[in-house]
Amino acid sequence: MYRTVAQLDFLQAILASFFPSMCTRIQLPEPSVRGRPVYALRVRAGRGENRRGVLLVGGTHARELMNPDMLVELAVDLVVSYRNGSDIVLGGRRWPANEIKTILETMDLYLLPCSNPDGREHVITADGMWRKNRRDNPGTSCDGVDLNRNLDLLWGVTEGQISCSPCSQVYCGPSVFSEPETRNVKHLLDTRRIDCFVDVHSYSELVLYPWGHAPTQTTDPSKRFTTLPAATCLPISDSTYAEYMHPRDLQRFQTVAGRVVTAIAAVRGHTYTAQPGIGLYATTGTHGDYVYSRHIANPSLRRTYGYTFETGPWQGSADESFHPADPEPIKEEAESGVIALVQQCICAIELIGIRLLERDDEVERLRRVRDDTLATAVHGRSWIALFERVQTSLVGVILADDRLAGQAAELLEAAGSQVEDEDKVLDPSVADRAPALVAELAERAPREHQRDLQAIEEVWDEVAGRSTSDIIRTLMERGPAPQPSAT
Amino acid sequence: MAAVGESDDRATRSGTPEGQPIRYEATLHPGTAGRLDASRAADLDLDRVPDPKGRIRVLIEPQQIHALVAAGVEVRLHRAVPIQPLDSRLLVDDDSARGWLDRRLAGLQREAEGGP
Repeated sequence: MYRTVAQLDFLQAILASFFPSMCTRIQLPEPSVRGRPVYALRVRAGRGENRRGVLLVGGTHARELMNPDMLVELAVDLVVSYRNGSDIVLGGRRWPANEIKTILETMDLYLLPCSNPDGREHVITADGMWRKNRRDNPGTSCDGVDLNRNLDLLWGVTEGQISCSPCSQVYCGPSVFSEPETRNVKHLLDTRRIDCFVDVHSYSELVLYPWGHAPTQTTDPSKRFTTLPAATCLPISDSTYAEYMHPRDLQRFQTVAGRVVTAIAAVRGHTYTAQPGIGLYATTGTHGDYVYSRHIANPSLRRTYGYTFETGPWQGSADESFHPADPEPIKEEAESGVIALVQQCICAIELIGIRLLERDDEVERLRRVRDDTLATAVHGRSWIALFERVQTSLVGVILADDRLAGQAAELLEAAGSQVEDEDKVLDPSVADRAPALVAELAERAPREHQRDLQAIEEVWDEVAGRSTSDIIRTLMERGPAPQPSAT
Repeated sequence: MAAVGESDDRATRSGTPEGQPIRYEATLHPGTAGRLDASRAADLDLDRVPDPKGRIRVLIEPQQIHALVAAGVEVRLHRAVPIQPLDSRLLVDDDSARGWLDRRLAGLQREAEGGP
């Protein structure tokens, strides 16, 4: 069952009115093309600024009705969980209250449940299979722009499922960001800190990440979309073109998408497929890819990881697949996937550094080591992946215990100081405290993290008493897999 | 192959017997024009929807069918999809929407009394 635009707006208004410390309704600066207000909802708990942010968008394509409902229901579930201290149960997947609490107290969640209200209204009142917005295209009887082709990544390059024809269901619009609905999304990206992004669509049971316009390669950085002409109404001229992505980013996309797939499957056993967007079909000007491309086009901007979900399976017909008679199971699994993605957006080091040390100097130094050194090698990336696997559950343990939090902050400070000097030998006091903290965390950590924490303890034995450069070289040359014992 | 995506949003003349505008859910296959790959399919500017077997599945209006066949594409119609509002039975009424929210929020202490 599907809510009207007015009901979606009303639900957000109620949450903001009843729980103003948690929910803030944001009227976006531009009404829709037919003059409807467009609302987003910020959901958070507690105090603290400069949080990592996640933007969740639904309803881009009008006929894909389930996802706006799912996002408003997610907002209600988050509030109820936090206020009641209750778990969020989605079929076979239980999200513990303490994990939801960690998410809400450390992140800013921005929900834009219905970015295309005119389109949704048209589906409800006139055409159940309408896809675009409701722009009146001048000089033609065909209305609408495909909002997921209107953004500034190779806009107007007709590579795959995109058209410069107003009568096409994949019409990219008369110009880049010509539509108020896409400008509203850009507004949120420009004015809020957004680290992770999901544009939720239907159908096909997919978790998509960049790139959608060309195959991805990690070896030739000269192949960048910034070197290609846009607004050509022609495909990319080089049929062999493959877009560069830093291997660390590709690993991150794959890892996070994999965890989303796991969280979805746990609800009722449906296994979504994680793949680059081009695996569905080639596109340009899409939300997920644009979001990720921003820091490449403008290096002064923050890197934001953009994903696209395609929720729900083929149901025997397009009509039933876009708006099934019973969307509840699909909404539950989609919600589980969204929570997983939000959780994966937490950065423990940043959290500990900024919240406990109240500065980001050490965070920035460690980030440079991660991105500029470790990420350039296969084994280095394995250590990064290990840390990202364990951090989301361990950060809750740490923040809930003042003693552990203090120890973690001290070690973070020491690590930040350590990496400043490549010849500095690891301080013996740090060499003792770190494994003790890891051992204590291992006692409290879920069983799934035991092997990873053991790998940290093992490598720690190897690096104790050595210099910064030796430590980093060890991590670059030896991954976290258990080493065979000498015979 | 020229694009066949030029369709009119208004009611087509060849609708249902009751005069209701109609589109069809169809899959496209190589016909007399030969191979039909994803690139050629994209050039057709049609409303393509995902297909469970990776076929080219589209929503098309009658005049587009004629153009596709004339262009040598085999069109297999699977079902008629009238251009009509969403089935009203799929919509939540206002009382039900409010009732759902009231049940979900039951027992929670509001931070501020009174509605919007």
